[in-house]
Amino acid sequence: MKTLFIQLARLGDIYMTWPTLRAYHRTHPNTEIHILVREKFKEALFGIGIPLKIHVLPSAEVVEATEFSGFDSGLRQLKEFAQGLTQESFQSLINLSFSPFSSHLVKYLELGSEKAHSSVSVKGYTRTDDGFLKLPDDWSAYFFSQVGIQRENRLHVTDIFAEVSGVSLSPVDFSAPVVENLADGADVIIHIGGSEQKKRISLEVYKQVLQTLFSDRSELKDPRVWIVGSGQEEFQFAESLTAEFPRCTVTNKVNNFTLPQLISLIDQASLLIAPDSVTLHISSLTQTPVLNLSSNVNFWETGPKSPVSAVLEIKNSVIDLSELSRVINGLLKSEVLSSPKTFETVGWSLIEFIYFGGTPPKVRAALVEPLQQFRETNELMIKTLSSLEDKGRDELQVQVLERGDEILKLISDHFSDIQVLYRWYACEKMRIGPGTFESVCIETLNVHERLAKILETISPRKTEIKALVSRIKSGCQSLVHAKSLNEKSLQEIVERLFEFSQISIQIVSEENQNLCFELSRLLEEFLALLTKKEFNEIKLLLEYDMISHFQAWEESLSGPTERRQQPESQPRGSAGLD
Amino acid sequence: MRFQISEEIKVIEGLLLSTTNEERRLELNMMLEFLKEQIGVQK
Repeated sequence: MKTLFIQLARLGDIYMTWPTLRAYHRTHPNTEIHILVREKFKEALFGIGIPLKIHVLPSAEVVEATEFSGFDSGLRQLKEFAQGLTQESFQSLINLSFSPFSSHLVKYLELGSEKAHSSVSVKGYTRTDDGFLKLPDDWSAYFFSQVGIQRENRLHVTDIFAEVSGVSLSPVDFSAPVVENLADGADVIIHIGGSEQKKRISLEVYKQVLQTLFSDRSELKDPRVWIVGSGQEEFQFAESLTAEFPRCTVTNKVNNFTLPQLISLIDQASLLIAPDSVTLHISSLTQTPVLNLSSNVNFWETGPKSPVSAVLEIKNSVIDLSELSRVINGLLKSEVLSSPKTFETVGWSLIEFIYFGGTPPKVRAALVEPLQQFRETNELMIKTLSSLEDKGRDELQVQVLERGDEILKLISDHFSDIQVLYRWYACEKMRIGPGTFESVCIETLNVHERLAKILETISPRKTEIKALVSRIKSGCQSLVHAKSLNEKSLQEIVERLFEFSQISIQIVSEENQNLCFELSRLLEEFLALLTKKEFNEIKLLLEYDMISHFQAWEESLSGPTERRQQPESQPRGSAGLD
Repeated sequence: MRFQISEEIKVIEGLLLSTTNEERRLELNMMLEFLKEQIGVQK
């Protein structure tokens, strides 16, 4: 058996792939593992400690041929290389690159296997026969729709790589790279690089980091600090930084080390301080305590995996100095620090609900209206698709569906929490492969029905809530006028009250939170009286508290327009005098 | 170098407009995305 992993991203991504490769070797000991990487980054596989056949994409040759003889010549080189890979007769292709080029390359390799009459299983991005992006597995679909900056994903890329590859990671997969230890080292390594400009941290922040390290309150007295990085720009940056601390043991070591030497340094250090960069991902393998200075990235996805680690988000080059000191000293003592403050977001709750069977999120009141519009649009699209299924192609109905898609996108563009749902929906529709009009209709209908089920759970209909409130209010009024009350006559109102109590949790907002508190108090009082069978007291509670309470809910659930249309209340006694 | 690659990208994009053969389209798209990445790498 032979499996080809495709990892055409940068150094950091290759290190984040290590645990997956090791787990794959551990669970498929008889499979020959191959990996395709770029020439520039192949060094990042050094020391992995498992048998691996490395293939290198001949980028330079393809570019050179294109420059001198046109793209057809470059394409010939690329095809020759791909055909060479096909001759390896892989049974499995696992693409962890998530890029357009890699998806076309995988499709090309699939076609090659088809021509050779051998079958190959594919995980990760590929292409359909007519050239559209194909996401054959659910985890690639998850990556496509929910992973990235400004998105709600909180799963680490290392774990997603493992899921795409179908392996479970174990602590042994995170062991340190096998490299020769350097004789010399430092207590603290500060990496000033970053694969992209936006991830880099300002000089001001690094100055504050050094001030903290060399302060009287530091855990390490006169620590030996080495600044690492690569290139002329980073060298100058480190020169400026060290010049600020002439009497401290901080040294510019930019351009001094190879990648394996850097691994050894990080392995031996007491602390690494780094932005989202290759050193950070190395520290996840060496398990070195690490402070991640995070800027313009989703740290959930690419932050440290080392158990002794912390993330400080840098916004506008500002850093919380007391927090910096607490974190650095805690890490130097190898303390497992308390998790950073994490806020529950509707977006992440929605991801957990849609993808991982979590509990439905609490939907803010502001989302009730847009979710209802989302639901109504989806219902119209379901009807339209059912009609297309029955009557066949009809241009008008197809256009209705297109407008429906536009409306769903428009709503999600205005409410970021709904974007998670829209991205799931758009991705599932995209996953429908080429087929006959009828088969595409059936599969599209299936996506809309799944969307309807999600919406049904997370979005109580405003009209239904209002109807329930009215039913409870009129139920209370009837009970007040009843000759006598007993447990049986109260059974229905109890059920309705419980139903509404559940819904109120979903629609709680700043505006109605007092009503929600009041509701739980009333419900508690009601149940206490019911247990004691004090029916007269229940009657008084219904008459003097419950009816007015549900009147207030009715008003709260009416939109501002409806409220404006209501007559303004007049002082008692003034009615009819004008 | 970037200029030459950009020109080749334009040629492929033009060819894709008139190419219907699926296998040829796959090859052209593969090359197109490869070259786009090369430009990205050099940025």
